[in-house]
Amino acid sequence: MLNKIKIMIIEDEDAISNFVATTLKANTYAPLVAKTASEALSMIPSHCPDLVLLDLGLPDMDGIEILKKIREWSSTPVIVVSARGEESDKVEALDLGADDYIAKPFGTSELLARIRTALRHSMKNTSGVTTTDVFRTKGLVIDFDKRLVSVEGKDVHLTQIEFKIVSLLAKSAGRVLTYDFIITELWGPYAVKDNQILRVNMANIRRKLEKNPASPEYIFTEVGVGYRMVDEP
Amino acid sequence: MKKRIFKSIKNYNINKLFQDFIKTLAVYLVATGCALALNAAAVMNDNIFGVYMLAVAIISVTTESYIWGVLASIGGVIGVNFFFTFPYFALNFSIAGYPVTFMIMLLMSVLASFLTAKVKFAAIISAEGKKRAETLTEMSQAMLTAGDYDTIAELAAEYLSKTNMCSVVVYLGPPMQSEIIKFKTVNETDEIILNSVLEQQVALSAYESDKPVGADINEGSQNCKGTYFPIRTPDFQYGVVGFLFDDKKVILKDMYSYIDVMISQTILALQKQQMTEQAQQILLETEKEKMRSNLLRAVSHDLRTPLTGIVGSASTLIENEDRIDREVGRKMLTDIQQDAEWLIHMVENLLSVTRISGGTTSLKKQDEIVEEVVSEAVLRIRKRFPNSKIDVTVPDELLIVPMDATLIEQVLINLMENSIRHSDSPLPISLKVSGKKSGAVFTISDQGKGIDPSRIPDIFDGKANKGSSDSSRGLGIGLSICKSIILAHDGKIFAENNINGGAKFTFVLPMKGDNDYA
Repeated sequence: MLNKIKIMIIEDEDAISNFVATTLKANTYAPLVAKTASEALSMIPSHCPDLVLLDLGLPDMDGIEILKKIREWSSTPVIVVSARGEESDKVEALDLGADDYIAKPFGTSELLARIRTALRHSMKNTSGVTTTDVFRTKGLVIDFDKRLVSVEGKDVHLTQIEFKIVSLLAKSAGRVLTYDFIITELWGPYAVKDNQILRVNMANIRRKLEKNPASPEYIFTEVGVGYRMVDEP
Repeated sequence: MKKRIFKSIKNYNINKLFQDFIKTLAVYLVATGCALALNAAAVMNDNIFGVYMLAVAIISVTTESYIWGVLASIGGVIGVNFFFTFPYFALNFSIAGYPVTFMIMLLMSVLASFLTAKVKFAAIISAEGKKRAETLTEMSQAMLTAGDYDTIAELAAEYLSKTNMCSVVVYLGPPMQSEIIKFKTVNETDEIILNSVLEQQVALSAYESDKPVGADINEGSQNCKGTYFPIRTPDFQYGVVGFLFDDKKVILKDMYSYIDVMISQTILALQKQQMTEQAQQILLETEKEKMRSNLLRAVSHDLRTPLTGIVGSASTLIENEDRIDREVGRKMLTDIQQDAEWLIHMVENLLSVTRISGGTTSLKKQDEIVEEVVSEAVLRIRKRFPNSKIDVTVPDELLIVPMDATLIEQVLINLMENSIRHSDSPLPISLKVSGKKSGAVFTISDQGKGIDPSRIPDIFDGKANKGSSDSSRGLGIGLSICKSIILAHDGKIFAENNINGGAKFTFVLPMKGDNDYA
């Protein structure tokens, strides 16, 4: 382990940065802690972290502003940490290029899972490896080339739009995709940002993929934010 | 108004005119026949005048217009002159005293005609008056039972249309932006006419003034067809009622005052409704206020307990680091974790209270797909209670309900947690959603020990359990928050016991389009 993965924690609350740093160290990551926005912005270029955990509520600068600054010159994955209930903040952060978000209070296992997912996606992008042709998670198999979807061996017939939504989520499995992001990907940047059509399509997809639409296994709803495809082998 | 009556006479039904003409002619001919017969029998020539007088009286009574009586009397004078005075079968008005006879007969017949016409009119008025009195009673009774603005407007339109035999429109609120518009039309095209921009503008001007406006009042000044009366008291504008009066109908003189009476009746009903709603609002406010104060009281107790636990355990661990064996230390850490988790949950509940405390207006209701909200709530509860079993059922069809998703999620979490913590049963709890006419019905039921029946009536009031122990802490707060949230959504929530045992909590959220005018 010569090259430990560097993770920068931007968090003003000592108690939180302490426990996060301890957890990360215990999981063979190399944590870096910044308490203020200015500190973070000066540390990032010199340390080149592999991932940034960004708390949105900082004393000297709005977390969103830091995100914008980072995104000006870097595609380092950023996971936003915010309090629950502030959906609009999350959506804004995600639409500005954050890779994922995690709501306070969070457990360590949840945090580690998010970090793994974000790192995996960033590796894929930087190493130029094209996404695999087939996506598998639990009983769900998606063959992107043949445009086939099956659940536990049984073929599922999706409409074209439904397939596009499912494959979009599958390609970013583990990450939350906002309504606006999905709409733009599917219907273009000038489409009306009305998520009702998307949500109705999603309800149909759930009925086709899930055994119980109210207790989904594959696609989770983050109410007010977007959707997330499960990311377990 | 006078003008209208004349106009209506001018437009007097041709058919009726013809009938009256035939009647007059027939009576006149019969009278002439009788007079000729009497003359032939030479029974007192003086009776001939009497016969004609009788004929005039009969004609006046049986025909609609007094014109016929006058015509008949002129005819009578001419008849007497022609048939029965010298020279016979020729007109000669130069006989001495004849103009006097003529004048007397004419005056008498005119008088008779006027008298009968007056009697007839009085009869019509009294019959009409009786009918109106009946309609008014009927209307006020119907309005007494009306429970919302919609019904009141509908009833007003119906009765006003019925009594005036014309199409009616009732606006509650300013026309052009009224939330309630009720039409009662006698023919199909009337609704289109009443709905035209011009008509609505005239209606709006009636709303803004305190006098009736429209075709019937300021004739010719506006091209509109309708006549609009404001529904208002000196200090409150309720709306406007518009009529499309039919020109051909005979309109009675006091019709406007009658319309005024009916409008007052409508205003009374509207005021009653307003008062009922205000009373309900006040009741709701006081209930909310009561709930909030109960909540604060319960919170201060319920927050201190876990905090004491956390501080105590943590300081024990720090101070006695070496003397505590691993097992006990671990147990204390687990306690800290659990208490903290519980506090998080509590704080989230309190946050939802702040979200609704600003009244219903601050509620950010959006159309949500029910299964999405339900699944997120279930996911969260499963994270906190990994060993709990929850059966979730949602309807196959898509259920879209306007709500604040975060708050409804909180309600679902509270109710599920309540079942998991207090049912004392390992059996699965069930969460079921169904779409009914009354709204979206959410039911959470367990198979545990159920609720103490004596607690059911005030279980949502935030009162701590009588034998309050820490094991049941939070129960009151969670449920009272549920109630506040559901009330803020104009929904209903209730608790009961299953027939087969176990507690059952149900709440109903109104679906789209259920909202009343308020």
